[in-house]
Amino acid sequence: MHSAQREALAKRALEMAGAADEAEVLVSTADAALTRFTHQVSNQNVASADAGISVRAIVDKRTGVARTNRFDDASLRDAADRAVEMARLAPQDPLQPGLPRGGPSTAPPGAYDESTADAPADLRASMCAALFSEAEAAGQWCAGFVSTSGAGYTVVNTSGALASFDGSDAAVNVKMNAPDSTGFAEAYSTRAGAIDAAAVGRRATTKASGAMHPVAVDPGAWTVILEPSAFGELFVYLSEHFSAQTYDEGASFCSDGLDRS
Amino acid sequence: MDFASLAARALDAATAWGADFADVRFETQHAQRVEVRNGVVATLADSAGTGYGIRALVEGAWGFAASSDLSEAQIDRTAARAVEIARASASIARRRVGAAPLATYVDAFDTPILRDPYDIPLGERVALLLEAERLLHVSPEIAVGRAWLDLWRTDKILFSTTRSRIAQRLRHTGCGIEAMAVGDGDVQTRTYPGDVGLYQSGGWEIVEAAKLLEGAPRIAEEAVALLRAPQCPGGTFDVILGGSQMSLQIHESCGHPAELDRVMGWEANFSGTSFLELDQIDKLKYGSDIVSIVVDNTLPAGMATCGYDDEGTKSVRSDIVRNGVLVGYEMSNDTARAIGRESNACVRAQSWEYVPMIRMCNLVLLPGSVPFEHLFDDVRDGIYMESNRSWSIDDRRLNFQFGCEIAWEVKNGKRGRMLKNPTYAGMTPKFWNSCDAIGDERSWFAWGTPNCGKGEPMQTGLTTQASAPARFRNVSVGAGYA
Repeated sequence: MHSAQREALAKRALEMAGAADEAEVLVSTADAALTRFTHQVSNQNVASADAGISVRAIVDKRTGVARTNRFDDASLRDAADRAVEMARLAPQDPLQPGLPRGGPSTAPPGAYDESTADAPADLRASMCAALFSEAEAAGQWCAGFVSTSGAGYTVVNTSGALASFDGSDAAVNVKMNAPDSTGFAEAYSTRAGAIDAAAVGRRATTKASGAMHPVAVDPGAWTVILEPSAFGELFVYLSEHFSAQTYDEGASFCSDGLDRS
Repeated sequence: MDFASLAARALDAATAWGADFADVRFETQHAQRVEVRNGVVATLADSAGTGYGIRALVEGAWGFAASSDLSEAQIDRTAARAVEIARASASIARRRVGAAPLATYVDAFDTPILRDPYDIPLGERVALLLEAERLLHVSPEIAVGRAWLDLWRTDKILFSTTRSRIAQRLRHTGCGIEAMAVGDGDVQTRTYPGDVGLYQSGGWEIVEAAKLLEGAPRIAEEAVALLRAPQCPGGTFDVILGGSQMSLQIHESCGHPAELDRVMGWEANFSGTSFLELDQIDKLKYGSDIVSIVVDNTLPAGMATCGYDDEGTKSVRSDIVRNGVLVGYEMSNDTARAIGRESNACVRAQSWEYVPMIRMCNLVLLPGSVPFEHLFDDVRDGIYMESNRSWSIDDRRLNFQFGCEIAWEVKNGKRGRMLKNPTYAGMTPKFWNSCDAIGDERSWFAWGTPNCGKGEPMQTGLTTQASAPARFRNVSVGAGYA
């Protein structure tokens, strides 16, 4: 579904939410494919295409949300009615600022690559095969995935906002396994063609080879260096504690630390 | 909607494109979540979706494609895509692993429910949560109170080229409350009835059984008391685990490692493989003689209870651990046939858009003979722990450390003072071999887990671990806060 189709659909749904003081409709489409493998065999090779429409209704500063993935008039009207019904049951939020009026928006260059969004299964298979070859050349086995996807979003509201975005993504993720060690590598891009799967595989086999014959580490205080992906994982777990809500509730380790180190 | 004619079209198309076997699963899902946070309805969301997924087997390799577009043209495209993907899988496979289901069924299954939750007006459901959350505020130190309710309805119908036609109507209901206390530089949380609430298959009767209004003041007072409770000591202790924590213990240290795809190395890069090996069947002393664990997808109220799994295998009950010895796995058709067994119907997909895969289902630790209160007898120096707070386990499910919300010391057979931040650690077989008492049927309960993750794209699975509280000897305690 291209952006003009999404906009037409969103406007049709918005009309059906006329019982709300304000309403917003979000139309999203996604086509995602992923080839997963282990021991040089694809154990999960999948693709899924979905489209959904979400209606947010505001009634007397009360908000309700309903979603459907059916686009006939009856389903759209049902979603709009459910959103309004739930808004009427929700508590009033005096701080509800109203829906934004929107403004001009431009997608970043290169956000959407059609050959990635529509990538055939053979492309992912060839990238997997490149990883398999690297594993076998190093005497290792590998597990991971290659994915490609395309997604589109359109939002429209009763304050006049209208915006659309289309994007694509590709990813390679692999863990190489040596007899007593592993090595991990990954790569992401909006263009599948920009990812050199063999190079990703070599990075992982090199790490696995370099980690062979590990020795035990004594418990105690050590200086630890985290590679970027490891730090990212840690940071995800910490990030919720930086939210204003947890700060305000006193539940964050930062709650006593504002303006202090 | 006439899924039969659409299914026939999908299966014909897949066959025409070259599939040796194909199945198509149509699903309509409806989900509603209400959450109250500090007196305010924070979430009131309702979603509905319909779609289908087609599996195609070509030259021993699987392909899967799904779509929410029910037009005939898109059915054709999706079937062709599933076959194209299967063919791509076959082109790079170093071995063939796919196998079609053996049996054909034409049948239907409905989750038994006593009372449809949607017969309860939405306003009444919201009012219950508001009142339960209000009762959590027993002290100004309760910084956050939460109460939630989830209702899930799934209607699905599976058709296959081997003429199976299986219609199922599944109903799941869950609810819970949580109190978070903040004070004295500490944060402590208590949840109820279990650490994720109470999730089971069924209807409004599950909410009634949860008794949220009765549980709220107690757990809120415990959360406040934990702020000033002494730290759980470190060392080696006898440990008694409450039923909810036993659920997590079974889930992580038995459920996941007994998934046969992990054992065979067919599942590896997300949450790892398994310490179990194929040649350990009928040999490995997984636990003590009193430890018997079955997978039972016919279990009343089980989250994974259904008539058939998502590749059309009839639900059964089968042994995983019998009298302490490893005797079975959770299996699919592919994996079972690879080791000369038959599937025990442990294949699930989160929804229409996901490929079916081996999932932990309903795992049951068979009850013992000891009344709950007598688990404390014969414990000279021990710790009783309840409700999971954190978990960490290695990627072979062997070495674990779990934390609980609350604990009490046990001295000379009596439960004593409250302790905070309890953790315990172990190696899976050694830990289960240290189990010397399991509670009886009166303390046995089916604890549901609504958020088990596996696979990529990650799928959320519905599982149940049914257990009574149990006692373990000489367990390493307290390392997490040492």
